[in-house]
Amino acid sequence: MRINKIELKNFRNHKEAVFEFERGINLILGDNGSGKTSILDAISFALFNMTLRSNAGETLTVNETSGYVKVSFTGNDNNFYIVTRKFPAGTVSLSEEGVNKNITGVTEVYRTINSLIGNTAENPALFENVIVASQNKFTTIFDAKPSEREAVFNSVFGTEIYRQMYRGILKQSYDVYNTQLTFAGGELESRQSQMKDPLELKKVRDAAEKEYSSAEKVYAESEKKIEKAEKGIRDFEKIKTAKEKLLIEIKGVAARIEEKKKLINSIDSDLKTAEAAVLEETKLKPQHDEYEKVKSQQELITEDINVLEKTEKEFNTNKDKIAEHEKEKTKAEGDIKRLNQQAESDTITAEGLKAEIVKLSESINTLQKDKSMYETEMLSLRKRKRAFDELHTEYKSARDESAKKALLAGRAEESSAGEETLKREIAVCETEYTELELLKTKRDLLNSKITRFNTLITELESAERDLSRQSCPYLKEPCRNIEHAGSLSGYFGPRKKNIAEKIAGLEAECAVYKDLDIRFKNCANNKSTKNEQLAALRKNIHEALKYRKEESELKQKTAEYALALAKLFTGLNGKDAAAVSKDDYDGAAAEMLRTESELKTRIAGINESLNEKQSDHQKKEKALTDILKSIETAEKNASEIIRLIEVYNTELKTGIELNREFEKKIIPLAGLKKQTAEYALRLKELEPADRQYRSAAQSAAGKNRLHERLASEKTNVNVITEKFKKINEEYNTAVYNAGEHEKLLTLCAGLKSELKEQNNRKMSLKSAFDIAVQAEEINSRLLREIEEKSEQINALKRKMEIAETFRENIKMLGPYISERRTKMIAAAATDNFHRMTGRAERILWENNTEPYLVSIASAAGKCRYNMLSGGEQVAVALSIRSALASEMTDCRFAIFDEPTINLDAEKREALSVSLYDMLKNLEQALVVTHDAAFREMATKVIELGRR
Amino acid sequence: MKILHCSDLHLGRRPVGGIGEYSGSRFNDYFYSFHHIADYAVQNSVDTVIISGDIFDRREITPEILERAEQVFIKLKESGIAAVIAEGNHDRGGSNDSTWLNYLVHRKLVHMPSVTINEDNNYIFEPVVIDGIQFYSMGYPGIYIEEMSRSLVEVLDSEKSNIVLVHTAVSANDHYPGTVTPGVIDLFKGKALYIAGGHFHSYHQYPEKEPYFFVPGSPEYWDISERDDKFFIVFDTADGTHDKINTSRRKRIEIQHSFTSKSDIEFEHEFDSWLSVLAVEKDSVVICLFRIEDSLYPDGPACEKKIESAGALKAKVSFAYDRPVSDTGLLNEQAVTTESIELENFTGSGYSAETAVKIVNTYLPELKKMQIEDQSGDIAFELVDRMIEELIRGK
Repeated sequence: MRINKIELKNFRNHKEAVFEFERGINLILGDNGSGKTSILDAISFALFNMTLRSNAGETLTVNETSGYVKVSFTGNDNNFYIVTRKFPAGTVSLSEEGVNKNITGVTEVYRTINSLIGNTAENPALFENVIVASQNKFTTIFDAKPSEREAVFNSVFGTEIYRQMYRGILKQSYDVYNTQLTFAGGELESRQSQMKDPLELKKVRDAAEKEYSSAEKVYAESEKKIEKAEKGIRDFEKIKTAKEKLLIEIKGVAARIEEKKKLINSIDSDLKTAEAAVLEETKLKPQHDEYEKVKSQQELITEDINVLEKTEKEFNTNKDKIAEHEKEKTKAEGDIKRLNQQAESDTITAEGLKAEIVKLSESINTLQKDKSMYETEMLSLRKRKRAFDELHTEYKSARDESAKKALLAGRAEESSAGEETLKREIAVCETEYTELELLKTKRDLLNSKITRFNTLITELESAERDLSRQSCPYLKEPCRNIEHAGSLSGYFGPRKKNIAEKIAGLEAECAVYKDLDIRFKNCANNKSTKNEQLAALRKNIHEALKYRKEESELKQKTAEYALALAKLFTGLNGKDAAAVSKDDYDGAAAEMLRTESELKTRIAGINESLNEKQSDHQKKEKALTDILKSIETAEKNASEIIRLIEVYNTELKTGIELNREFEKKIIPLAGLKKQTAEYALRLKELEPADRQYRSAAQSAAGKNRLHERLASEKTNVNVITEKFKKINEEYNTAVYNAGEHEKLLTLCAGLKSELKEQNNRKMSLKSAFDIAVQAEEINSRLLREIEEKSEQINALKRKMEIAETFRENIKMLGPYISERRTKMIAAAATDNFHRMTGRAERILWENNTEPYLVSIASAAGKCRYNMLSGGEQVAVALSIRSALASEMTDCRFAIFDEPTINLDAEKREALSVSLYDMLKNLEQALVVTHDAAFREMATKVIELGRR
Repeated sequence: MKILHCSDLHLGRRPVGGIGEYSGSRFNDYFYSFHHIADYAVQNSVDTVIISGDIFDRREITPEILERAEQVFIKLKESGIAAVIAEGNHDRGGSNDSTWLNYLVHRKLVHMPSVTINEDNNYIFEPVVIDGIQFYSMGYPGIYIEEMSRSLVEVLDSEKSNIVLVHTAVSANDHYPGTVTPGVIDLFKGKALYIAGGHFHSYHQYPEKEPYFFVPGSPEYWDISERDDKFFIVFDTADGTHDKINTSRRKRIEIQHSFTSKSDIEFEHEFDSWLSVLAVEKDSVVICLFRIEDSLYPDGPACEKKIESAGALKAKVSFAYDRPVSDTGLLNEQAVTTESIELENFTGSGYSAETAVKIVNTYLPELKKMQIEDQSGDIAFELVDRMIEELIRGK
């Protein structure tokens, strides 16, 4: 992760400011009050979600109401992002640079940023102690009181939460289980006390069941008896209903007999009226017959008149039609005459055009033949010219190339002689080079060891000086430490001596290789020069051989081209192809060009007259087609008119004949009209007598029908009287059965009263049985509940056991994580320490005797952090911090806030050397200082002036 | 259609800043691996090769890198194999920048389905269609993965055969930038035939049963501390089968050994004789962890040089003092997290691996959150009770 730019708006004394940073070490330099620390606070607020140390009033620039911090940074995925956080609102948004999509909401934004910058955001302990080193806290923290160290590093490693869980959430849950267990125990006891003997309960239930079952049987038998009696009663009820129906029927039949008798009397009276009408009918018969005769004659004459009037109408219509046909026929005859005259004139014009078209076609054919001949000739000419050009070019190029290759091939012989000599010389050089190289490696190893040992001595001496100057921090309490100081002094002597001896031995070994570098350099130069010469020689030989081969191939090609050229170009027949000169070629080419141009002109001329003739030909053809079409149309029209005239003639003839017949037919019409008027008068006179006759005849005709009806009604009366007698008998039988019915009803009532008593007894026995069953059920439910409660108690005990084990695991997790972390960090810190100082001691970071105790160990024993010299403390602290950062985050980013403040001169010097070693491995570091000591190591310096 | 899926080629990478023979050899390794993939595709009648991001190690590349990459794409094109690519976080441009990937598209050597944002701030996906298969790309969606995925799922027509290229890998937690949670991949079920992932350099697939999201891993070690198997995948759309094929990459050997010498000089001799009988494979990368006595301060770089003289291309030596050599965590340089230590502690306390994973990934984060937020009472008890019941079932 690295920060590219930070923009501040109304943030403390930065009203509007932009700072750009680079990869590597960025120094923010300025005096107190210049706003250095504000920049760091803004970064920690916007990028790491740290709480601001100042309240809203102090954070805002004077007289302003809102502001923001915008940080542009490169994430661990190499992409560019912008986070903007506003204050005092605290809202935040994140987006990729150049993408107009924002992620918002504090939780969501910092969850995302956390992954982008290597899991550092939102853990204040990690941020404050690993990412940021404020003032000289990074050295003093390892020297702090054990309880302070424990608090800080437990927060850094996030182990405090396990202890909290052990005492909090997990303890509460365990207590809940315990309460549940006590409650379940109480419930179990209560159920156990309510339980009864199941065998006793069974005995009671069996006895009750037996009694109830016998009562039930008696009851069922009585029920059957009642059922039978009730069936008998139901049958008598049916007979009673039938008797009532019969009575109604008897009354109905008697009424019908009376009705029929009245009807017979009425028919008798009608019969007398009919006999009087017969006498009237006979009297009026002659007048009625005459009326009928006259009416029939008049109807016959009216039909004839209708037919003749229709014929008269047709005669008049036909007459109009004949006149119209004659008019149309005259007009058609005029049209025919005009059409015939036009057709004759068009035929003469068409004949003339046909003759002209034949002539034009002949002329076009001739021109096309000429054109095709010239075109064939030109095509052949061009083909010949192209083939000749290609061959000629290839021939020339092959001839020239062959000559060049021959010249180059000559070098091969010169070069191969020197090759062998050079090879021998190089072999000698190689042997010497390898030997010298081995010696050099050996000497370098010795030198590096000497350097390391020398550094070690310097360090030892520095520590020793500390002692002699009594400047070590621990000597501030001389009574407690003086003895230990003496033992340390004893520790330095032998170690220094031992190392000095090693150095002397190594230096002696080195002396042998004094002039080694010059010898090696000479030998390497010599070898390289000879190898270059050899490579050049070999390249020459290789190339020359290649040219020789190519030359021979090209020569053969030249000969082949020459032969083909001569064959193709007939104008140079007999001449050697090699001797074909430029003039020969140019002359021949010019001749071909001339011929081509002439042919082109001829073809163009032909094309012109062809176009002219073809256009004329087309025009004439069109005129001819038009005339022929017009003649055809005229002929078609004339024949249509002739057909029409014929139709008119036929129709005229038929019409005239028809009208003659019509005229004959309508002559009697007038006589008939007179006769029909006379008939009408007579009919009017006869009409009253005829109407009277018809009425009398109608009455007389009903006489026979009345006789028949009278006979039929008399038969009906006899049938009904018979039926009446039969029903009367049935009714008498029903009256007898009613007495038996009353007896059965009394029996049934007695039976029902008995049944009621039996039922009461049965119900009371059933109730006793139910109580016995219920008692048994309650007992088995209690048994089930006791079993369930027991199971529940066992499960709770098991849960408590598991919960307690888990709780213990959680309690131990904190120390376990601390142990694992510190061990790994100490190992990595040891590597850092070696790289920084070249010293062999190991850094230990342990929790055995004291929490987070730092010491360094060597063959001579352990030395606690607070016993180390100032320089050593700085180196050890930086080594651990560096290891801590790479172990706990993927951030590769650090902030140093006034790292040199409160440090003595020695520590400051040690810091400036070691800090560079540490920071160069990070992607970016921001160092805020008023101390220019770090200026040289910085890739970028931002200087802030006092505001 | 037979599709070959690979990812994270990192062409142009030069380890250790491009200095020395080692860096040069490794520079070539990335191209050799890619050539091997292309040769496999040609010899095994593959129809389409898809590369889901990080083709180049950087967005700025030298002409040599471009030319050597083009050679492989030309080989594929001349064999009638289509190449469909997507951007990764290493080789993508900014929102409007053109990259060398666009140049390859311009040269018609590759197809690159596009994803853009329109004026209404909506994602617009333009697929590449080859033989009826629709290839969609989300490029490197980074922090927008969830929003972009939901937009794409809306667009995908489940009646068609869809393949999605995306430079991301599945990660259950938020530790790694540019990764995706399983829930987001679940959205694509039934909508995408195959999701070609990338970004992580080791193989993984999701879900466990009937997987449709695949990360093949980088063909060559991006860093020599990577130890995982590396594959490319051949997916057949006709029958839905997928085969993992091992990539061709630099030989990498891990060695652990204990030395008994009591002084540095003795150690030097002991090391020399140990090395003299060790068969060092030529041009291999050798990673060593040596356990030594507490008093020693041996010269690690010298040991590395000697192993390299014996034939290794590169040697890396580290020493352990009071730690057991069997602690494989030391050789594996991947980050040790609080969760991994918790897991280690629970498995060490007698919990089964499955139960321990469940506690660490599911219950502990919730319990911690509740403890921090000081949530007591029924909710907290319910969670603990659920966990205890699960622990009983797991026993």
